[in-house]
Amino acid sequence: MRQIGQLFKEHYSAMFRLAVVLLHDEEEGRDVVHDVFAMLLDGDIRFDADKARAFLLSCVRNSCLNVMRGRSTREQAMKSYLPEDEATEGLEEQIATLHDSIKDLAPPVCREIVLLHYRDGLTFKEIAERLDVSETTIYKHLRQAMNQLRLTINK
Amino acid sequence: MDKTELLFMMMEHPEQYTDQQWQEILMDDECRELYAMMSKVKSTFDVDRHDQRGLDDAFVKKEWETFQAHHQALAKVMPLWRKVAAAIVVAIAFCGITIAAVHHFNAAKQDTPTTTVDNQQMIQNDNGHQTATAVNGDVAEAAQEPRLYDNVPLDEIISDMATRYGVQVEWQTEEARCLRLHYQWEPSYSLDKVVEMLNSFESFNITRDGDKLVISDRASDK
Repeated sequence: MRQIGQLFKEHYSAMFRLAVVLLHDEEEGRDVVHDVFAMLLDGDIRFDADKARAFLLSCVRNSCLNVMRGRSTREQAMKSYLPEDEATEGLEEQIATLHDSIKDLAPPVCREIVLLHYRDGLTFKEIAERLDVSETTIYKHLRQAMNQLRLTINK
Repeated sequence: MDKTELLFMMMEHPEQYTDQQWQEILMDDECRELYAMMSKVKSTFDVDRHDQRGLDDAFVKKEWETFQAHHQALAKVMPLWRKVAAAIVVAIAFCGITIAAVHHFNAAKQDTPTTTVDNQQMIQNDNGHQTATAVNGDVAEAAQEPRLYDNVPLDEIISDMATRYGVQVEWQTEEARCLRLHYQWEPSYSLDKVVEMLNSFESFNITRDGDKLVISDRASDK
């Protein structure tokens, strides 16, 4: 139990972060991480101590994928889950790149729409009302923003 | 209407569209790429919120205490079923003899519909191998239902699980393939949990190596 406690202390934060990235849900992310540690505690699992972080993150990724696979496509869409083939090990680097790139979105209205939707939680309809434009205009700017961001992570 | 415009509308109200409509729109490469990008942007803001809050030592300590308390509560229950499983596994036998080990880990879910697969319901496929089939023949519906394997070879059970969880299987023991089990499988459980439960049987050992299950003889594993 003491060894597990040490692993928990050292890696919980990164594991929880990855689970939230994949599941977009803190409660479910917490459950996944706890399940991984429960598995370690109950099971006869051996791994190289030097690779503990990579192993634990891999366990979290696999457990999250299991959660995702257990849901219908519609349920996955309601949670905005990534398609399975996109949930790769490079995902966190992509997210770091996106974090920086969102600030540079142009024209500014693209950035504003992204922030209003993802940061502030406004629906597309609410954004359209606030900016006094049609929802179709919002979709156009959002598509433009996503294309710009896609280019930054594909560089 | 432009297909990406439809995707945005669907993302605004995902619950208003059917599973089939979602599958169809995500089959389109452009829409799938756009959807994935939006999911990643959502993750970016999730991470921002997560990092701004900060997971300090006090938070992790509290989580550890919660985990310990929960796990210790479970530990009081777990040894009982482990003992039962171990005792029953004494009766384990190879081909043709049923392992009379019934796992009722999901007692709380016993009122849910259960698909039964038994040796009367085995069919021969083109390769001459036996294949387990669901009683009602509706594989899609049966996919999430608990499945009761009654006197079914481990080979067949593992094959069903591999399909369900999308993993490959490596058999390091031929003997274990023919072990016949009485086992209730909950497809809604994670693969790791199912592996853990199956490892209560003492005649074989299953380990997970990424997207592969390795089944070995328990004796050779030690």
